[in-house]
Amino acid sequence: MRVANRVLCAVLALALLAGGLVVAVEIVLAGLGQRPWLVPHDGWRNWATVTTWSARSARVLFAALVVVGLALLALELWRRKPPALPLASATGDVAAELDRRSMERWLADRVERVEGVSGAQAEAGAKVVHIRADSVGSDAGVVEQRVRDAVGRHLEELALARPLRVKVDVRSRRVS
Amino acid sequence: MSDAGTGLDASNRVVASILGLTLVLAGGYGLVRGLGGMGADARLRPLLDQELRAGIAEYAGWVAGVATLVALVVAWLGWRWLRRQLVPSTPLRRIPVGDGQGGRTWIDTGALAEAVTRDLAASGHVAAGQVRVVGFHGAPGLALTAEVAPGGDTRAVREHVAGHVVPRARAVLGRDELAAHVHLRLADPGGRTVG
Repeated sequence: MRVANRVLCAVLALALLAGGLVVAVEIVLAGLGQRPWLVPHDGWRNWATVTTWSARSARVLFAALVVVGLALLALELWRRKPPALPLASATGDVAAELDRRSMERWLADRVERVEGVSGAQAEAGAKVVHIRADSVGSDAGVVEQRVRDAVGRHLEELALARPLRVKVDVRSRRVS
Repeated sequence: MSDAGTGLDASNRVVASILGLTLVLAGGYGLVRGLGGMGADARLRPLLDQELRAGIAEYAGWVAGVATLVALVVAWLGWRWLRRQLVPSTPLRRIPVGDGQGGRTWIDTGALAEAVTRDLAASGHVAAGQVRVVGFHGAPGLALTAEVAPGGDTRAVREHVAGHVVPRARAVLGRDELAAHVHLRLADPGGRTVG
């Protein structure tokens, strides 16, 4: 997602760069009495001179601006999982962070070692870590408590700057 | 260093949000005016009405000058933003370590990064390490990535970096203010290198 957003931002930046340069060149050319280079601004000016604010074509243009703007805002304000979680500072002047995906795999592996758990997945965000564990032939409530204790212990070991809330889901599977 | 470490993702979101908000406000203004929210008279006027055309014609020189300046500023900001996507953290090739009468002494950052990587990997808790020297000549920084060995202790790695690796680099460069950012990865339990 971060990579896709970086590509989008590169495209937007390129549009600003090219747009700004083209407009500046067109203004200079117009000042010198030359014909337009890339933008048919004479035609655009004529259109804007005869088109009212209530005209259908103008309203379509404004609606398109709103839709594109809202789409951009929604994309950027969407809460995404952080790529890394900040760690509590060891000495104060060396900033440290922990790769989120590696932490998820590490936690899942630790949970799979808990008695009664046959498989596990971990998914972490900025505030919550969600553990999904499968238990075989054990009381789900007991397994859930064991998982919660283990995850709490391991998170403490990592010393994150902001403690994560632990959410545990245990699915019981019967052995046939 | 990750995007989070360089702040690139956060700054991209801020800039793109400002652009989005600008589009919404411009389009929203047009829609409100076109739908009669600012009076029937405003609704039926052309987008470029006589009054506005007369104003532009009267101050044509000023309007052209200001518009050119604004367009160039937008292009410059676009260039800076584009450059940031292509080179998120500037790698340095050499940094100054001292000035004397005979000139200035420089240190090759490749050799420095290699030495710091060796220091980093010297910890038994580190399976692999990578170091880059980033920033500017006047304010260089270290971007360290360490893979914590299976069974390794993240606290021990951080203490090793903060208590040994970074102070040594600072001493070599004679820069107590050398910034450092460490990105830790926990080794994949399956034995693969975490990427």
